[in-house]
Amino acid sequence: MGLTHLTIHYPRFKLSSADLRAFYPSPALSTYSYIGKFGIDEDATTLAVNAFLDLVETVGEMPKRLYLSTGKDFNSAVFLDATGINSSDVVHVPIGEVGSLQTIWEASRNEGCAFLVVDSPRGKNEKVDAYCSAAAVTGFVGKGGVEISSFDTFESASYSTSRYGSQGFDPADESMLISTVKEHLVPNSINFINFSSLKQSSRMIPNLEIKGQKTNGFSGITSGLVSLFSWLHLDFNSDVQLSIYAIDENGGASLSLQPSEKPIVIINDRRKDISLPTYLMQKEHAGNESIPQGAFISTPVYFSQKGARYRLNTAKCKDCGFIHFPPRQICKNCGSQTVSGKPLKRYGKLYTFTKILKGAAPPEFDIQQALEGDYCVGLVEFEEGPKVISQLTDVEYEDLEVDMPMKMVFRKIYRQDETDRYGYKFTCV
Amino acid sequence: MRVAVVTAGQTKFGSFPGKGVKGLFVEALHEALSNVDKELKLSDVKEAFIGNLGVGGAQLGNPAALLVEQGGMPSVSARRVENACASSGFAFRDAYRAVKNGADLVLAGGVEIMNDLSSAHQRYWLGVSGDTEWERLAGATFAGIYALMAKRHMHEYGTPREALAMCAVKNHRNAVDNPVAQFRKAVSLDRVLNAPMVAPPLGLFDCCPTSDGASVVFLASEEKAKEITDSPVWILGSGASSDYLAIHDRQSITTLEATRRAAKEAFSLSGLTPEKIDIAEVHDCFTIAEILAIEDIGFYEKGKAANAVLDGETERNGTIPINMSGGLKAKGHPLGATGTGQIVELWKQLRNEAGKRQISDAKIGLAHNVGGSGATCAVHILGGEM
Repeated sequence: MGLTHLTIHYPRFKLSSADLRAFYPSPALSTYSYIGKFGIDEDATTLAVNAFLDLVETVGEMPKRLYLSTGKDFNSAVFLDATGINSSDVVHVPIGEVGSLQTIWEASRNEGCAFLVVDSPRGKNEKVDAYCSAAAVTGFVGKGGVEISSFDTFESASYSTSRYGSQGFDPADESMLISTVKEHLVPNSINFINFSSLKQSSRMIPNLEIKGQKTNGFSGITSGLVSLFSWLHLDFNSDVQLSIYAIDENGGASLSLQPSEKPIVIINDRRKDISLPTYLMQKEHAGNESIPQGAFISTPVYFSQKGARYRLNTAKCKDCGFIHFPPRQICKNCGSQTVSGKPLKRYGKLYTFTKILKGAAPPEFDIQQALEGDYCVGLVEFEEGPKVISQLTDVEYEDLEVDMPMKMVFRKIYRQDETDRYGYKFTCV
Repeated sequence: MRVAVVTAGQTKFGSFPGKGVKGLFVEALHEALSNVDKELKLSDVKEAFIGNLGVGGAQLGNPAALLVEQGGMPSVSARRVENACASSGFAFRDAYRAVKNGADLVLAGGVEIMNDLSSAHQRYWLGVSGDTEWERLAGATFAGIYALMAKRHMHEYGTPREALAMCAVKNHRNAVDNPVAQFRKAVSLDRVLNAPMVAPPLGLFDCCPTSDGASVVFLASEEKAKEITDSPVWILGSGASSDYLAIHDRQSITTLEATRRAAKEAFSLSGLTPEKIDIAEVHDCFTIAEILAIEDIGFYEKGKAANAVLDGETERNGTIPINMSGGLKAKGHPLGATGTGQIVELWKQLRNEAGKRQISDAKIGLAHNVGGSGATCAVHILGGEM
């Protein structure tokens, strides 16, 4: 029994390194130019939904139970509605380095279960978000795969409670973690180690001199898990043992993995160039804006179609079987009544498209347009037949072509009445 | 029983936010009354149908009664007709049917003020005529919706961008000779093609302007018409239809089914065919809309309009002159006033009173008015004394 399927959603902004250093004057950032992407249409909730939908699609079944480790900005109700998992099948664990490792450990003891760890920068704390990853990492436990052989906790009371001081970890904590790692070393192992000190480079750990051992540093648990699981995809080797060590205000912990069988890993690693002014503007807004004036689609009306907006639920004619999306009560084909149908699969092809240029967007999209630039809109024709109009995200107009394959992603649409409105957008496959 | 248009008038279309809806409506009414050949008594008016989308949300209740009392007809049975940009096309149809049903003198008109709003407010209420709950939430605008149609039309039929642009070039040129048009200035093909994009493939010159204006026409029974004029213009056919609001609900987005059905009904009622039409005012809110219109009405087979436009067939001296007034593109598009505004143009053309833009021997004209992206459409065929 082990991890058989893994998905990683890992969107990043790429700033020029000069820009980044101007903003975060830390020598550690000389080799670093990526920052976790947050923004108008993505947050911890959308990352988690998209990663989980990809996992379920790859596995081919809904997990029996989901061990879910999330931060404060996670909207659990939206996650349940958008993924269709029963709330009684979800075990919530607060995010944290140690808690996340424990989540994975517990899931790994239960065949047919899954874990999901998600975190995203809030976009407000200047010192934190240079190191924070916006990432969702999720895995399914089945027969074979990567066995998790042990979970250990250590030095539970000794670590400083100030997880993020102005300079990251307390140096004493770091030394303690290094000694712990040294004590537990096994031959021919690869170790992923938690460092968040701004004095350290995130990738290289010069003061950890462990001869003959490969080490990979990471700053937050989600980026550590991204590195660990990316290794399973890119550098898989069944002769090595993998360990991940982490500390937080609750103590320290490690997880050991035995990669006997290569898992199926889906990595969604999107990178977007961004200028410093735009980045700072996005940071300021970070999708928290309420829209003062827009086409007033009332909150009850919006949420009455939640099933269609989140999960592509359809209506099916009870007589002729014609599938309608968006759902409607009377069949377009034969005039009979409809009943609820299966959700559409998330795939289709681009039927036609355009780009809405600056100054022309409906006012509820003004903020998105100011921050993220002009956006594309298209009609997507589903494999099952219906067409739908949708915003296209993470695409460039110049790259679009009629008939190209598209995939639905779950995104934030905008915020109105103090409520985030989520729904579908489409992106290129 | 035949129904006649006995007089017609309109304000200039353009930017007149200070005139208010009352001012604009009364101005159009006076224009229509001053165009009366013999005598028309307002006290004889039995019904009034007034097209209006929303006046920016300022007068959503009872606007028709307000306008007719301002115009000196405080007791006439009046109502507002709202079908987005096809509001007064439908007001005209309702007026036609009212005359058929025994009201011997009926007013049809429309009014809209769009330039009195901030840009954000304007963009707010301009996008409310589609299936808002789905189309608007995708961030689509009306230009965006028509751009989606244009892109697909190009994909299916190889329609070149130049054909769209030529519609704008032609309509701007036509508007030069129309004293009531908003833009009386010719533009070059290069300028249209190189204008800033709004929603590609549509650029700034592919889109109609935001306009203020009003238009008023009077319809009368054959008997009543004799008191008012010796040269009535007859309504030979009327057709109207609706369609799915959201373009994703339509089987094809390169045909406006509402146009096809409305045109079919109007032709069938009149016993005419597209070949018999001498002149047409079609709903060119975007240049692609003119291409769709002349195909769906039946002047051209699907996919063939682009070449016809490029060959000059829709020009003033072409086989079927389209939008001699300048169309929505250059004459202007004050939503609720557009439908009856088209009738004003045909009334003048068919009475040989269109001045420099007169098409000689124009006997039969067609007006085509679309609401939104094709959710509603009214088509009328008019003929002068033969």
